[in-house]
Amino acid sequence: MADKYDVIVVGAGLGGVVCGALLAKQGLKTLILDKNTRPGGKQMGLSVNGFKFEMWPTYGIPQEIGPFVDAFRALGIESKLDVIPKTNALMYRRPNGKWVTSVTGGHQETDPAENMFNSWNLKPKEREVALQVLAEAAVLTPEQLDALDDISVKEWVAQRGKIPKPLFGFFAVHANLMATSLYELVAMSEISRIMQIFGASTTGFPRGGYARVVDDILDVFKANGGTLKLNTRVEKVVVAQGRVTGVATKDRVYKSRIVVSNAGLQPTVLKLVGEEYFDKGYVGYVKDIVPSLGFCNQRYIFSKPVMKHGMFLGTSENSYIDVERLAEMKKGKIPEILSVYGVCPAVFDPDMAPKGKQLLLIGAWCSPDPDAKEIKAVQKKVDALFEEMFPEAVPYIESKEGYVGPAQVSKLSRDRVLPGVGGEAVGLAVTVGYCGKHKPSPKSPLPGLFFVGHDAGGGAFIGTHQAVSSGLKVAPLVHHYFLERKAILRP
Amino acid sequence: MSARYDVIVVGAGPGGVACGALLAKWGLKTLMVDKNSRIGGKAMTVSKRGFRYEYWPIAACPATNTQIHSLLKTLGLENEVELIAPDPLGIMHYETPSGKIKTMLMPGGGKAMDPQEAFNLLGIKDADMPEVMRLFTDILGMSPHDQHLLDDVSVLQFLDGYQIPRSMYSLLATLQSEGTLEVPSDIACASEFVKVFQQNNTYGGGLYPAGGFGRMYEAIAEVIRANGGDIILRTRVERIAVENGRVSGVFTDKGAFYAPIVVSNAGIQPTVLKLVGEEHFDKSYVNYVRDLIPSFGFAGARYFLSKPVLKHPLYVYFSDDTVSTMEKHMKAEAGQMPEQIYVFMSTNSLYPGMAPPGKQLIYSGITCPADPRTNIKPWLDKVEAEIARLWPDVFKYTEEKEYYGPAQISRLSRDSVVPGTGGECIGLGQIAGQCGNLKPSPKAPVGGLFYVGADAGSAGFGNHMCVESGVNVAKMVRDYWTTHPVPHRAE
Repeated sequence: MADKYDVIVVGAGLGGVVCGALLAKQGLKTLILDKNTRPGGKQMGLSVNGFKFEMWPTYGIPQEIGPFVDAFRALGIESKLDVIPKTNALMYRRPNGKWVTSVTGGHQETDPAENMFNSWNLKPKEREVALQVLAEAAVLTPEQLDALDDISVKEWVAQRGKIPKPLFGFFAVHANLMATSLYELVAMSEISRIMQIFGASTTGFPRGGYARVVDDILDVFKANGGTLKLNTRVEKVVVAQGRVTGVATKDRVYKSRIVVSNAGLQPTVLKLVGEEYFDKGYVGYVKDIVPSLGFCNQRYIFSKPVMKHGMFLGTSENSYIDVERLAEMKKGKIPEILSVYGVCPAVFDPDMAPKGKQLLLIGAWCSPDPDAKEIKAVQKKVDALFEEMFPEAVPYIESKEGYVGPAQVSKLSRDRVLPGVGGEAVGLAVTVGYCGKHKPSPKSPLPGLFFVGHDAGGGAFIGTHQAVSSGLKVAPLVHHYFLERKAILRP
Repeated sequence: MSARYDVIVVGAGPGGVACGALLAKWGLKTLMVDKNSRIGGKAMTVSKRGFRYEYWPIAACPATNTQIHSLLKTLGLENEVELIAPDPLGIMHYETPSGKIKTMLMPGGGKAMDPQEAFNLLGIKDADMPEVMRLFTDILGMSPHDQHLLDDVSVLQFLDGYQIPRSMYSLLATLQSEGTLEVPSDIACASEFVKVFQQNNTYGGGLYPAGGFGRMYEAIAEVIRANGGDIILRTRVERIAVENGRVSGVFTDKGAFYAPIVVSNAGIQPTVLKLVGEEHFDKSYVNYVRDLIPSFGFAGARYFLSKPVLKHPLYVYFSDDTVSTMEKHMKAEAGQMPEQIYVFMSTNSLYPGMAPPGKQLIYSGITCPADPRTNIKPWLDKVEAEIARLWPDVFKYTEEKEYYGPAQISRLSRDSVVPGTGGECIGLGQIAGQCGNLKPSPKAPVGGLFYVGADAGSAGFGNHMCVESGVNVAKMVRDYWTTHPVPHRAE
């Protein structure tokens, strides 16, 4: 009876491993299957020539609060979570082409709003307006936040009347950066929650990278009898008599009355289970959810530690992608400036690079379409912007490698089940109608089937947090479901 | 007798009669059909050799200011049905870890338990008081909004947030979950737990109608006849007829009756899967209904005594080890009965006219599987062993005894349509994930079909919950009636 489990988790992304580990700790016989050779999904750790890094720049674990802290506490390994805060460079390109930098984070005691306004070159009157608007966005009761689930960033900003252009750019850019979608679609509540969390905590990067986080969680999973099988692609979730009964890989069937899918809502419903097991209305709903933006990334290897700050963001009042610009990019017209984002893991944790060297993960947001043709041009643009922003570092670029775009992301994570979808950087977008109180339910309409990960069940803040908070939320749901049906679903 | 009505109520349980009586009083021509020869469903009152009694122990909570009181008033029955709130209600027995049995008088008459007396009984130390008080304050002060946040949280999960002594933990997790909700405490719903605790603490427990629950429900049902409706007993509804996506009436073994609205008090699972039929619903709704979990069953005995043994209506016994969990239940089913169990004894013979002079009828019982095929002997043996230890006089004066279990409950009430169910002593299980906002809607997705009773429309403790559902659903049906151009209005 080796192939019979209490619960099977499909996919070892952050949501999947947190959920699996919590369930194993509760005593459920748990199996996690993943098609890749390493766990971690889109946050998997890689190591090449003595460098350790993730597929793309990831940053922003709050040290004191939030789902990472909660998950490590729930798993009894609170002391293992070692989040290192360092300084960040927020770089802003003024309309005249001049870049200004304000340094935040670390142990600096400066007012971030003030720094931002200085970069934006705001006049005193404009500062008043900007401060007022930022307060309206961030200082909210839970009820007010709930109400913002139903309004897009664009609508919310429009309601504020005339605001300074850089502030408008700030909201539009943050819809790309933090919520990984377009400001016309993203719900304002997501932006507000992100601002609240950043305001209330010190954020950083985990020692050993995100791979270490995943390993720590999986250690608990294994110590509690959990089984992790890598290199194992689930082809089908098996359904019999209106409920889940297991999963099938190419050559065998693993039985379980509960399957938790970390493979994405759309691939799970449309491919792994199959439309025929759901109502038309549900299939329509699932197909209709907008994916998040993609992210294309590359690695710069420096022959010398030139990057001073752990993370940098390069933006301007015009660096956002909106519906129109995304369409233009598709036609090959890359905007003059794009938001650029980079993380240098070794600044946080020196063990992430060989002595005297540095690796920078750098990239920009783009279409999630695995067939997108404009990715090369976007990456060229990123190179050009880097040269503008860090001219002093350019001579030390030893090599550029590891080009990753939506096509590679899709191969690594979710399957393509709909045209233009698969390479999304986080998962389904946090748009109006699909986040906060409207977030897709982690309990599918098919008995025994649950979703975990960014797509369902979690909430708020950037992608990795959505995934971990989903794992925390879904594990007790599944545990109850298991207990409640124990008497009835006897093998 | 007519063949055409405005509304047909299937089932004369507490929810059905409350709903039917109100609708009749509001002017709808109402037909009530029940397969049994008496009104009251699981709460019917029968007579034998001078005794009047229900088949199993039934009491209501809260004891004063209830929906039952206001319903009787609305129907003009407040003088006809006397509601008794006995004071004192009974005696609580707590066995300490060293094996000493301590007792405490439970107040009745709408009075709340004195917390200090309970703390003495449970041996709560001063050092533990702040945490115990934090728990009590949180429960008693919890707003309805915050209670809903506990809809998918279990009682144990909720209690685990407090560092309270084991004795207090056991009192709450035994009496307030298995003792009231009839499901183990690790799956019992925390929002129901909080609601019942609040009601119990504000208005006391132990309500009993003079002459029996069945007598009260008969009086309520009479309102249907008094307002031009009909009641037909000993008539089994075989099918609820659906035409063009909406109900059109019922087929019974006594012929067909037509109405544009059918309110089913027969349980959501039997209604959807059998009376209406799966083919009239979407797949996901059928799967959802099939996947619902009923409450546990109940097994016990009625002892007819030649001499009164109990002075008060209710006696309960618990210890630190009587907390019921799914694991304990599964073990019991596998033949491993737990060493200590929650036991209770009750009698209705103390109320006027319920027993021949000098005699007494006593109930005992224990939560057991809801499967009507369960061999209940191990459960009965365990209860009787405990009674012999705690209240040996019961057996000394027993003239006759009758056992009952899930098979008897199922015969009297709902049909078994999902394997392992049918003998549930309440109905839909009040478990995490299917209560409060997550409870099935009383309005079915077939036009004109509603559910009433324990399965939909309210929350709380047993009979009170069902009557409240009757009132809530009657209002929904009235609104539906006035707002929908329903076809075939009765002449």
